[in-house]
Amino acid sequence: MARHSKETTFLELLEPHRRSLYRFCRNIIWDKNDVEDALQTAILSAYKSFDTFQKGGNFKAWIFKFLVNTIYNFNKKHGREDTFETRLDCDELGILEVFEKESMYQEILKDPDRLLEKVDERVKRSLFRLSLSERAVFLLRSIEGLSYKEIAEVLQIPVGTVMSQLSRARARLREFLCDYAKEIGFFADRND
Amino acid sequence: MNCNEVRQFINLFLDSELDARSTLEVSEHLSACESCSRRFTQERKIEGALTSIFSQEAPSTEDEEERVWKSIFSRIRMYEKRRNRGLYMKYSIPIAVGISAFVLITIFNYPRHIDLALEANRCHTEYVENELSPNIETFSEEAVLGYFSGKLDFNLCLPKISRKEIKLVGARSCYLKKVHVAYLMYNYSGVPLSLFIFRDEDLKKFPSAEKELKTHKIIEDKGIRGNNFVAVKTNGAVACAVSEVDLPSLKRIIKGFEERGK
Repeated sequence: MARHSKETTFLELLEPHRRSLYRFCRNIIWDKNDVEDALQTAILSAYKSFDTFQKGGNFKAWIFKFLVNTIYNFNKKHGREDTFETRLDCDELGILEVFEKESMYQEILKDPDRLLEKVDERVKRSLFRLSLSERAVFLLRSIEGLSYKEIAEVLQIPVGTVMSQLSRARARLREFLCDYAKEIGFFADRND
Repeated sequence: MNCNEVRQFINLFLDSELDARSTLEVSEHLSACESCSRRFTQERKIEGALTSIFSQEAPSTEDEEERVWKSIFSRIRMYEKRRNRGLYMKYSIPIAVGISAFVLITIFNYPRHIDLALEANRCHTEYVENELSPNIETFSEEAVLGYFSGKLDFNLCLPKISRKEIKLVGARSCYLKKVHVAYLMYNYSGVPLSLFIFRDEDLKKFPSAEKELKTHKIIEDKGIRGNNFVAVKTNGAVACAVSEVDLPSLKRIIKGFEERGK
């Protein structure tokens, strides 16, 4: 069997996660002009440290850690010094308790497809109304499929904080969905 | 679990992060409670829709992404090339310098021995290692002279040596580079010593020895596989001695030969 070089092995492991890394970087970085530089810096520093990656380990979580640290440093340049840990009440793990527009949301839930077929770019932009930490946790869980433990490792925060921020992010996204529904007259249509 | 308790676990349940026991309890409740079951299904749908919305990228972004990745791959290749070149420069120059120094030192220190010394030493070594034995074993110089009588085409004379320090052991005829020589084996304080005597005309078979003997009365060579060598030309013959014995002692023995020759 041919002996793989460090470069080939690294690129083979990287390949399945390229899209995720790029998408995450675009969705988290403060200045979109920094996407290329940040991604390049993160991947290159991961490559330089590839000897420290344990064979058979979780490459996705490992490389996301480099990206998160790099993005943090890039955001810092712009005075965006958000850490990924924020002070939240960890008792609130459900959606119902933190969700203020429950009645509107209940209305949406009665027929979610009717609203979902009307969503446009405005809903997509609502992601950027989340705080950096909420956005990071939500993207890593819902889009990238990382476990709570892996997210805690990548963002270097406790698992409890991952849970509370994820809960908060989901509640806020649903809140934005309600605002959007109201804006497009979803509830008026329903009343008709 | 009641409805309120179960709904507390929506996130953990949908994310498959609940422990086995709680997962079972929630599942049991959902199969029994239509309202909660519907709520969980709807939540899953909303979550799926949001995930799908945020995952979508415009086609233009995909092109941009490919460009970014190409640039990253090229940076990795460049880094790898520079690293390899750095390692090459880091190690190749010291290695080349080391090898050159070693070669030069070896050339300068390489012992350039006298041809006759090498040949005599080869024969002496064969004797010491029992590969060559004397044709005549005797302590008597007369017996040796008798043995060689009529065998040599030059006048053989033996060195004048005190019998206390050196003892004759035996002798034989042999050849050094096809030159017929009288080979005398001695024992010097328990150390084997070989003495070779041959016609001085045959010295031309040993150019470096011949050259040295033109300008020096006695020539010497040391450190030939741990042995020393001394040679002298006298009375139509050449005599050379090889042994582990130190050079001054060898010289003294050869000088005895020279004196006897006169």
